[in-house]
Amino acid sequence: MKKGKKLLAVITTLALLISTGCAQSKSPTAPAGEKNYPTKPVEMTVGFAAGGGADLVTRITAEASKKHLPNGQSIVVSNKTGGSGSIQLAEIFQSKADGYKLGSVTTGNIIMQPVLGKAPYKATDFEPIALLNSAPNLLVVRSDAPFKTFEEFLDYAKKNPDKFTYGTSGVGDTKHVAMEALNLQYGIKTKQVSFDGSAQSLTALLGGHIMAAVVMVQEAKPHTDSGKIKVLANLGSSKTDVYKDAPYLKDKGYAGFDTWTGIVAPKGTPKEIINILADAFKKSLQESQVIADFKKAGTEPSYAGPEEFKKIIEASYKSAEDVVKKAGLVK
Amino acid sequence: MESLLQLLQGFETALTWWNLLYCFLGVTVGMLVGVMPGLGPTAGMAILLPITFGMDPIPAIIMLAGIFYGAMYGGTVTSVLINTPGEAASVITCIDGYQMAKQGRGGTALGIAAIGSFIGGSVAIMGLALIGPPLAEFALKFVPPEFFSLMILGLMTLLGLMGKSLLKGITAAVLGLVLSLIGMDPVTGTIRFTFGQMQLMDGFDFVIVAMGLFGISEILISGENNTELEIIPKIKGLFPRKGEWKPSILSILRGTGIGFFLGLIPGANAVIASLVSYSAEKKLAKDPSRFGKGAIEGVAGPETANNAYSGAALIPLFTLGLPSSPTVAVLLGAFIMHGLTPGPVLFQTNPDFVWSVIASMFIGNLLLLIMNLPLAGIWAKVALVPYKLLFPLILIVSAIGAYSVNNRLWDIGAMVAFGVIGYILKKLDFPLAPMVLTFVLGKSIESSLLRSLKISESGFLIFFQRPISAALMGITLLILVFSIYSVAKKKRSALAGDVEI
Repeated sequence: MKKGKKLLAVITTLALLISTGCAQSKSPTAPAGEKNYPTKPVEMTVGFAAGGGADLVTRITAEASKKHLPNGQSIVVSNKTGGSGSIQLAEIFQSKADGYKLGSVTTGNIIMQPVLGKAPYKATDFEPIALLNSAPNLLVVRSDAPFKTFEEFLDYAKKNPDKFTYGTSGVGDTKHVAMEALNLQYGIKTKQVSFDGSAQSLTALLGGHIMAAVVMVQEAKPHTDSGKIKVLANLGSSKTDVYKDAPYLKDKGYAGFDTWTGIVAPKGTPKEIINILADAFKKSLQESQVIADFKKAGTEPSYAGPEEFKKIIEASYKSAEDVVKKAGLVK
Repeated sequence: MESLLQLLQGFETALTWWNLLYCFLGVTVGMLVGVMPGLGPTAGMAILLPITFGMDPIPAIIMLAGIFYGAMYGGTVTSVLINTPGEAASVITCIDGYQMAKQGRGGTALGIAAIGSFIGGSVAIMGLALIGPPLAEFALKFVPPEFFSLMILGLMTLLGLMGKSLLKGITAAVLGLVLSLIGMDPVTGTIRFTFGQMQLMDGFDFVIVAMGLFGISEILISGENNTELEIIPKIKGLFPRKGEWKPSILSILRGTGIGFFLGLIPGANAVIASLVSYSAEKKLAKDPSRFGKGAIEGVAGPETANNAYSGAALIPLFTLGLPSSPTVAVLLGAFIMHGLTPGPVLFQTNPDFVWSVIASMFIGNLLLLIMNLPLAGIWAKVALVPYKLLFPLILIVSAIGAYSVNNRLWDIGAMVAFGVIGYILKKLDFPLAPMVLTFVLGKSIESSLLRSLKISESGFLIFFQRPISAALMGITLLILVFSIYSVAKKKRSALAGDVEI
């Protein structure tokens, strides 16, 4: 027995030594701007559960990008949930900037978590690569609601402060902020009830227990199709073909809040690598199959390259920070 | 009548070779992820979801749904054999199932669980097929205030699990509640008790807590007895003894009813179904003292309930497009990916799809029964494997399971920590089931309470103003009054037991 233990100890030590040796010898071979990128599969993490909107969009794009990446390499997607996506993004924040670790981000984890002071990173701490899609948030009510139009709703809310209840998928999410911005702009007072996801808030709305909900286009569609709910206003920063007739508040000076999904890399990732990736994503999003798959998921591709995506992040951050501060959501 | 005809047509599609194959694949994968502690149907479905992108919608959904209900069968296995719940709903099964396995009746426990699961699952699917749409409206009546009242009633039923000492039971239950408070407040988003640890922002995951408290602690306890352990008697048959058939069938029928009813409510979970079923069985049994010592009803009822639950949980999804749990949400994602919009119109726009999937679920449940009855005998032999071989294996599988929850190492550490806590609590004779159950219920209790108060215009009165909620609260109060009365009647004998130590 004793002999065996000694042997085991020796072997373990040896194994440890060898592995640390390997790790050390590896690091200098990954200098800034590897010539032949990528030489191995690229890892991409999603901060939200598999099967959700952000996950689907990311997986479709990653799958399609195989054809467009050099050296026949591919992107491997995995989910790292927790902390409203901030655990995943914090990991990207600390990762090596060698282009082999990318993060799929949404307004939730890259904008809202840092704005609310709940993340160890800032929205600008990353190298934006590409915007994949952008979907407006909608204010929906039951079809038999007492207000037919957005103006009638405003009227009601002005006369009944703190009586109008609406559901969102979580506290301090983009949807909540969109509604707070509306409150600020029109001087109304409404009451937010946060649920675990849009499905729950829609259940409460359909059952008539809250008066409205803020949801995304694909979440609203099954229920507007069945005629149970209607869209009062588009609170987004982009228009949508599905609800063309919904009042588009951005035209009236409202900031507009979309929920978008995009890809970022750790800060300091070499420009060449970013461009290779952005190019691959751009080509992927132009494929007819990808467009069809996006459509199935209830959205559509809206590519923006590194520079443009960076501006979108900055603009989103600014408008969200503005509202959060004015509405007193963060102390 | 019309739906019966459509169902027959559904069988025609579901019985084609390819669809049968996908159904078989689905339920097998479901069984496997159910058996692996830590890996649940959510993970199983999420992993296979991208593979189905290229498939036709019907086989794709048949397979994914198979994983969903198949996992409920698999979860029983580890609960019974190694006292580690494979998924949340099987915590209750550990109590009597593991005792049965220790008496060499593991095969019987698994056998009756399989039969019960089959009956519960089939009845629930029948419900989905025949009376789904009208029932769905009922689901909309359940929102935060009703939930809260339901959970409080659920907490009452915990009394049945307290073990020997009420005091220790309540201590464990409160510990579970406190644990559930860690992390982000569900309504205001305030972060509590995390000590700056970002990993704690969402609190602990149920899987981690349950695997630690039950599984790891079991290994530690057994590790103590270095000498050969209790000799497990020879495995006796798969079917209950003669006198056990009648009570088992009755438990199965009750479990079906309870599971079906709770499945209709979006947001309730399978844990509540098995919990309510277990306490109902204990209350109704002629000799409640057998519970916790290997009572067959304690396995039959809850296992049936959680399968009936998972069948019925599909009703809100199919008819309203509302997923009732994260697992069903993955299924909703799959529906959408395949261009199908669940909801009231689905039955009209895609009848062939709906009925084929429903028919496939009947077939899947039958396949699971056929697979499980003979397998039960084989599984039960696992209990005969020497501990020194079995435990390292369980440890490895648990670690993989813990890692798979969030893909992070931190969770494995947390699981081990809970293992040590569980070891200490077991040594001190604290019952662990109340702790785990209040931990699960705690989050829902808190969020439904806070949401109710936000919706309410009359504060706490909201719970008594709404009919369903008021009725639930009334039942809870009645149980409370009766329990106090019966304890008082039995003088202080019940309490005296507590102060002994």
